[in-house]
Formats: sequence, structure tokens, C-alpha cells
Amino acid sequence: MRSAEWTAWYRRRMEMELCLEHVSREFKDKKAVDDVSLRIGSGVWGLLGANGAGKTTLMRMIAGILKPDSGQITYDGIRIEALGEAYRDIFGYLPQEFGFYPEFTVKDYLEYIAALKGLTKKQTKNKIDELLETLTLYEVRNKKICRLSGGMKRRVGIAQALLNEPEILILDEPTSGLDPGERVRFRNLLSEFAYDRIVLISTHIVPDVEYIAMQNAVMKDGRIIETGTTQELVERMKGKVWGSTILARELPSCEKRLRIVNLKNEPDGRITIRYLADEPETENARAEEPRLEDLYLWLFPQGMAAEERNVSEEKSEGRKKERQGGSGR
Amino acid sequence: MKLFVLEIKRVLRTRTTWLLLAASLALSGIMAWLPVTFESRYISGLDGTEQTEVKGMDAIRLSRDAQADLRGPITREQLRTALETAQKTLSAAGKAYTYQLSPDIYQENILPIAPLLPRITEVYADPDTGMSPGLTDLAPEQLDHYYESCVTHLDDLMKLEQKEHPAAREKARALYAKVPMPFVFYPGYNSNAYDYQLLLFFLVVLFCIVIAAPVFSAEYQTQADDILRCTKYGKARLAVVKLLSAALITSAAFLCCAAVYLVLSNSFFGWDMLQTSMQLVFSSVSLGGMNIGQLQLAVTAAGWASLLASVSFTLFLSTRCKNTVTALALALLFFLAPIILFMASSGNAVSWLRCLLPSGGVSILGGIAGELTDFNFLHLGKFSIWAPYVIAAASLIEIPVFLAAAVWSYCRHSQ
Repeated sequence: MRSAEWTAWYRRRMEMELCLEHVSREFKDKKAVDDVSLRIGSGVWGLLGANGAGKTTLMRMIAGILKPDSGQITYDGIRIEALGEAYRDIFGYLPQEFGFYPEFTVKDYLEYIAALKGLTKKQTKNKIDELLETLTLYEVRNKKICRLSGGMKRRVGIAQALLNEPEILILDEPTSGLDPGERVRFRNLLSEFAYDRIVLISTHIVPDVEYIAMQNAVMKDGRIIETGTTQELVERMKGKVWGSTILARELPSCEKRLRIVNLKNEPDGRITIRYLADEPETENARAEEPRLEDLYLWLFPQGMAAEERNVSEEKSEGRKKERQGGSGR
Repeated sequence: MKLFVLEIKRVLRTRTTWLLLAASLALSGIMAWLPVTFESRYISGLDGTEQTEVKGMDAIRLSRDAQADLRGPITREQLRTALETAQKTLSAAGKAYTYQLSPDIYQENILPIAPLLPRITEVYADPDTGMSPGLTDLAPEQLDHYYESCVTHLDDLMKLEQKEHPAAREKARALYAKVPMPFVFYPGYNSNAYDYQLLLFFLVVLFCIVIAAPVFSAEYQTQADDILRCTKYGKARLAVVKLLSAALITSAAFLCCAAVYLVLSNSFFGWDMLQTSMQLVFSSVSLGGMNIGQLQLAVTAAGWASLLASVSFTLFLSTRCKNTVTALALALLFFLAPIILFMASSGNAVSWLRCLLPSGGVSILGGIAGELTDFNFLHLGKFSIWAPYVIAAASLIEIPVFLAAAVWSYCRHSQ
């Protein structure tokens, strides 16, 4: 890149800002989004929050599908309603529920969306070919979307959002239904794509954003309760994550007392636990390196309860395996 | 344009759409043929006793051949001769009504003049009761003033039907003054074909409404619109494209079906009958100054306008309903409303309502086809308007109104 071009790009990147000012939205008796203010610059942003935290409502407002009851959303200082078509021209959106026309094949659907996004015939062909290849959809391009697996449908959804190479890309739970390999590929694709763009990913699957998000915002009960880089947020959990190895018979009492985020059956019959607490609450407790997921579980204990249930199920499964001579998690 | 083509392809690719379009096309042929199957004549054999039933195209040919001498303008002399022939035949056979005659006598003497006889008796109906006299009750000299008597009969009829509304009587007289006289007749046509044209239009519009109902509501239901309305052209332009494509597909279907029906039907009954005055098929005092060909085109044009009004209204409903079932149920309810209202009451307010409803034009009861051959006037204070004018004007106004309302509603949806 030449110097002048680089300067222009850098300036553009610095100027690029999606700004939410005191945005609120209420549904009947529930305040889904409550006085949210956020400045979103270029790069990948993670919007974390439990189900019902207000993430989808916030994203729909950013997408211009819902109007805020109060407050305003601006892009580069101009209200998105005023930008209208110009805003939608640089916008890509994947909603949580990916609705599509059942009669469409993958290619038909992408062509239809490309026309709606104002792509020329040549751009449409090139971009669709590229995305079909990148998202490994080429083999199923002539299949009806309704006959695809959940993961493939999700990839079609991602493809449509990327068709116009949007400056602002909003993805609501983009990885639900994707297998681990697809999730890794998707994360890499996004990292590359977000180079000079705003990418906002809403999720409750923390690892999806942990490694690629430059900034994160954590939402709870309609409000943004934390913002910062992954590093900054993780720092806040320093001294709150502990690991300990306990005897199997001690587990029930530990489960009652502690916020266990992970447990692992060791070959010697003991169990290694990882828990969240302001100070160590077990013998031989050692401070663990915190992760973003720890912060999430610290902020959303109800989410952890669900996790606990899963862990309990895995634990009993592990015990079964143990009895059969294998080893559990 | 590209988006428009893609949208049309999308709608046409829906299984329901093409099934309904194929069904409409098939119906056009069936509906054109059915009135032919109703044609039936009994003819006698060489010995004059054996009777044979002739059906379908043979019966039409038989009638056309028998009535060939009537082709062209119907003069007073022809009418007088027809009455004299009928009276002579009835008198000779000792019968009061033509249907009491034996087939051979009917075929020989009455069939050649049959289309004129009901039009003759009708005009000399009792001014107080509206009852037509029998053929034997009339004096042939009366027919020397047949066309003048038509005007008198219209006045009598309007006095009976529009007693409280002198404006309606005036309007009727003014309309009838424009009816070309003498009436023209070419054999072949009957009102069954007209009724089936109306029935076909009713069904095709019904199918088009089923096609239009999910256009927006299906997207709300599947949440596909969340993605669409975030795209550059995903708001007003997409709404306009969807409306235009629905209007184009349904219009094309309607016009194709109408063309197929009219071509087939007119081929069966004979193209020359298109010149027949509608007064000789329906009523001597029908207010429309049209021949059958013009009447067919007027009904088709009004039906098309009503189709577009109904589809526009359905699309508007589609933008307001969050699922396809509600949209379809409401669309069908409004589509059938004119029939329900027609059966419920003949009051002025109800008549206004059924004529103003988008599907009023293609209703099988009180639709424009029926109203064009009838004498219904709608009243607003001292003013009276012939019902077909209201139906046609309402349709033409409703098309842009509901299309604009649909765009507005789609753009505002879920905000």
C-alpha cells in the first residue's frame, strides 16, 4: 500500500465509529435494552450476555429493524435513520434466526440478496463464487436451503451477510450449529475480514470471541455492565479463579459451597476442580490463569447453574466410565 | 429490473403458485366448454314422431342455422312477423306457451325466432306489476312502436324499482338514450357463457389472492425479512418490487385465462354473435349501450381492475399479518364479503359497502357482470349512481391506495 493510500485508510479506520447514545427499548412490561451507550470502532467486538440479556434487541436496533424508544444510534456522527439506504449499503447482518425462502437453492438465495444489496452482475458472480468456496458451500450450491444441515444453513447466512463486504457486520449468534472445525474457520475468516471494518458478534459462547475480539461488551438485564479488551476483562478476574484437586467423596459438599466452572476426573480417582471465588476456599488451592469465560460465568451465575448441570451429567457419565475402567473428564 | 426479475422467478418457483396458475389455465378451458354441454335440442326424425336429442356443438349449429335469417339489425317488421308466427303456431297447436309445443313444431316455427319472443313480451309488461303478458295477449300492431315501447317500459320499471329516487330514474333514462337501436342480433350466444365467464373470473381472482397472501407475511413468519430489510434496497424498493411482481404475475394469469376463455367460448358459439346487442340476450331495457363483444371486454377490464384492487388489498393485509394463515384467512374473508353482504341485505348502505369492497367487481352475486345487466342504483342523498360505475371507480381508486398503504406498512413493520 502506498503511503497516501495507507494514510487515507488509517484515517478512515480511525474515523469509523458506530455510536450508541442512551439507547433504550421496552417491550410491554420488559425493558429489553436500558440506556445503553457504546462507541464501537473498527475491529471485532464481542457482545457477551446470557439469553434474554437484550443482545438481540440491541443488534436489531443497530440493524435499523427496530427503532429505539429513546436515544440514538449514529454512524460517523450521522443518525442511521438519516443515512437510510447509504447505511444499509455498508451493512451486513446475520440474525439469530436465519429465515430464508424455502424454494431457493443456495445460489438463488445469494443472487437474490446480492441484487438487494445492489451488486452488479459481475460482482455478484465473483463474490458468490468466492464465498461458496471460502465457506465450503460450493458442493451444495444448487441444493435447496431447506434441505441443508443446520451448520450449512448458518454458513449460508454468514455468506449473505458478507456479500457486499460490509463496513459494519453484525452477527447474532453466528456459530450456533457449527462444528468445531467450522467455528475455527469462521473465526479466522472474521479476523481477516475485520481488518478495517466494524464487526460485532453477539454470543453466549465465550470462546467464539475470546481469541478474535479486540473489544468486548458484556450485557446483562438490558444494560452494558462491562467493556474492555479481552485482556482487560480477564485481568478483572485475577485472583478469583482457583484450581484444586479433591477426593471424589468431597465433591458434593464442594458443589454446594463453590461456583465450580470445570471439573475433571483424574486417573487416580480424585477430581480436579476449577472454581470462582474471591479467595481460595479449598485446601491446596492454587490460583489459575483466568479466561474470558470465567468472567462470563462470574457475571452470569445463572448461566453457570446450567453449566453445573452439564458438568454434573458429565461427571456421572465419567463415573460410569470410571467404574467400567475408563476415565472421564 | 434485476431484482424484479429475481422476485418474479422466486414467486413462480413456489409450488403453490404454479399449481394455482396451472389450475387457472385448465379452468379457463373447462369453463369455456361447460356452457356448450348445456346446449340441447330435440329434433324429430323423418317420420315426424321420433325425437332425438342433439347436444353440445351440434345443438349450437342447429340453432345458428335455424336463426340465420335474423342476422343483422332487428326491424319492427321482423319483430311483428315473429309475434304473428308465434301466435299462429300456438293457436294452431291449441297451446298457450311455446314450451308446450312438440319438438318438431318448435324446431320448425319457433326456434328461428326464439331469441326475440321473450324480448317482445318483456317490453309490454304491466306497468303496475311488472308481469309480462303471454304471446297470445299481444296485438302485432303494438310492435310497430317496439323501440318506443322499450323506453316506456324502462320508465315503468324504474318507477317500480326506484320509487323514492327520481335521480336514479333520470340517470337510467339518460343511459338508455345511448343504447344503439335497432338492436342487432347474430345467433349463437346465450347467458350461460356469460355466467361462466363471471365464475371463471371469480375463481381466478380467488387463486390470485391465495398467491398474494403470503408475499410479505411468509417473510415475517420465517423472519426472512430481518435480513432483507437490512439490505440497500430492502425497504421501500423491495416492497415496490414485490407489489409490482405480484401485480404482474396475477394480471398475466388473469388476462391469459380471460383470453383463453374468450377465444374458446367465442369459437364455440361463433365470433359473429359478438355483434349482438346485449339487450337481446339479457333484457330489452338493459342500460349498457354495448354489444356482446363490448360487454365481454367491459367485464374483463372491470374484472382485471377488481383483481388488482383485491390483490393490492391482500398484499396490504399481508404486510400487516405476522403469519400466512392470518393473512390468507383475512384475505378470503374480505374476498367473500360482497357475496355475504349481497345475501344479507339489499339496503343502500350494504349495497354501497359490497360495491366498494375490492372484490366487489368479481363477486358472483352483485359483481360488475351482474350489475351491467341490472338496474341497481346506489344513492347518496339526492344523487344516484349506477352500481357498475361505483364498482369500477372503487377498484381503480383502491389499486394505488392499497399499494401505497402496503409499501408504507412494510417499511414500518416491527419498528
